[in-house]
Amino acid sequence: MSTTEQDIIVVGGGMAGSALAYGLAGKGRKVTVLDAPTDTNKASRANVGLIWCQSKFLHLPDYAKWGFISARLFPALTKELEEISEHTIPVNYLGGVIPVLSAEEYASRGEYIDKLREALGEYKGCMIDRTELERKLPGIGWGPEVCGAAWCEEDGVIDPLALLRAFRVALPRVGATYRQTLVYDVQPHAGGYRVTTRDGVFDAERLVLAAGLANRRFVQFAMPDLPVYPDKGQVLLVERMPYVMPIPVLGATQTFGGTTIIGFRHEHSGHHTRVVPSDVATEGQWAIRVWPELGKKRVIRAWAGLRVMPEDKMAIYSHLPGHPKVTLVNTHSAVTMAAAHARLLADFALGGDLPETAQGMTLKRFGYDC
Amino acid sequence: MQNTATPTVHITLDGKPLEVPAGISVAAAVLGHAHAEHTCKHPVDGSARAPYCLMGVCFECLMEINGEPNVQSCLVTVQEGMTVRRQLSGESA
Ligand SMILES: Cc1cc2nc3c(=O)[nH]c(=O)nc-3n(C[C@H](O)[C@H](O)[C@H](O)COP(=O)(O)OP(=O)(O)OC[C@H]3O[C@@H](n4cnc5c(N)ncnc54)[C@H](O)[C@@H]3O)c2cc1C
Ligand code: FES
Repeated sequence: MSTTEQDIIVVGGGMAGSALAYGLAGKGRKVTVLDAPTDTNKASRANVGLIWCQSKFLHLPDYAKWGFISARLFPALTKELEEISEHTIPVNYLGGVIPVLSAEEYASRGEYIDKLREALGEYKGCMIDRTELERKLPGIGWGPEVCGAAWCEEDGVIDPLALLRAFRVALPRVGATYRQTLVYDVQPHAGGYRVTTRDGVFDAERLVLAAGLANRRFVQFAMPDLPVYPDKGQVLLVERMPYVMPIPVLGATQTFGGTTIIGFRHEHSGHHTRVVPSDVATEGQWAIRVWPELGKKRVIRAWAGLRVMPEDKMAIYSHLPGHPKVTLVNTHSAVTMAAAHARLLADFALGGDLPETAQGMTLKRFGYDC
Repeated sequence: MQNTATPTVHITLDGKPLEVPAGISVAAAVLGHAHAEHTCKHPVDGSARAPYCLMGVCFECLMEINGEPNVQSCLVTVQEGMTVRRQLSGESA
């Protein structure tokens, strides 16, 4: 078995690991990403691609801010990735809408936005009426019940597979190594860390654990259990239609290829206290009420992905108890946060501080000493 | 070049009669026996598309079959009297 010495090894090359590795390579470190397809860790390849900041996390204002920070870093990042990778990344930074179907919902979403604006100090969004919604998205024949929408100009939508591919192509070009190999185990070793893989052993001074749900297994040398759980997100894919949705609609989002992804509304509806049915049929019914044209179209595919959900629904960026050179990354919105991960976390992984907004996102909040 | 030993069926493609081996898919009939260049247009960018994967995955083979638009023609077996239309207008019906 060969041993390869690295400054830092990133275990997992999904959305989170790729973004962070890209940031680390920018610091001139010898970075290796170890990633292999697994049966369950597919979130980075199964998501909607929303860069979604609005109407969420009133109870976690720093996390809400963190989303906006990431969204603002996105345009420069995607431009840079396109240049380095020479791959186009379809993306729109034109805002996002959540259509509402009743005056009651219009009022409650409006109240929520007012509170968010107060909590955050700044919020570039508001409720818009049906006329304004029709003006913003003239190609959509809205259902008769649609009376308006929650609107935020800082949301966006990206082709998540194109983003992932651009990271992957860019990584070696900025000096990082990407190895497709299955990681079996991670252990402290000779003052650093040893990662045992299908293709040999890798040693490094520092480690980033970005293996999605598999992080639960890999942290075990330092802590018995990780407060994250798998949360199933199920979506329906509707056949291609002419492109009419440059501004994404949450819950029925048209992709750049013309198909529409239905579902996943609950992912971002953090303020609902009632239980939002996750049943795909219900999501489909809702989508047809919003955009009746969908009802005449075929569902061509359905899939489920497991989201990596921290127990309190906030991101975890943390060192492990007793292991300051190991950095853990787990977030349920790693697309939205990709720009923050690429630009703002490298210092932390190299021993520095977290950005101020993210300082409450370590494992300390779960009672760990780290 | 029909082999007389092979059973055939008659379909119409864009209004023209076509005799093809029984048991093959509509996509195979249109490509292999009518030598059509493309069979539909992508509704987003209008680019010309034709059957590609032939196994139900890529959705590039959409055609109107017996009046029903946007059918994956690689998954449908030709039947006697079947009416097939390519979707060349670009709009998904
Ligand atoms: C249906 C659905 C829709 C979503 N929509 C959105 C959205 O619109 N916007 C948004 O921001 N977020 C969305 N999400 C959430 C987002 O997809 C996840 O937050 C994100 O993918 C998590 O990325 P990750 O890199 O942390 O984990 P993962 O995606 O799980 O990636 C982990 C990586 O590690 C690798 N790995 C795991 N174990 C090993 C091992 N033993 N050896 C080697 N490699 C290993 C995996 O192969 C994978 O590449 C959605 C999720 C789902 C399921
Ligand atoms: S040829 Fe790919 S789905 Fe029919």
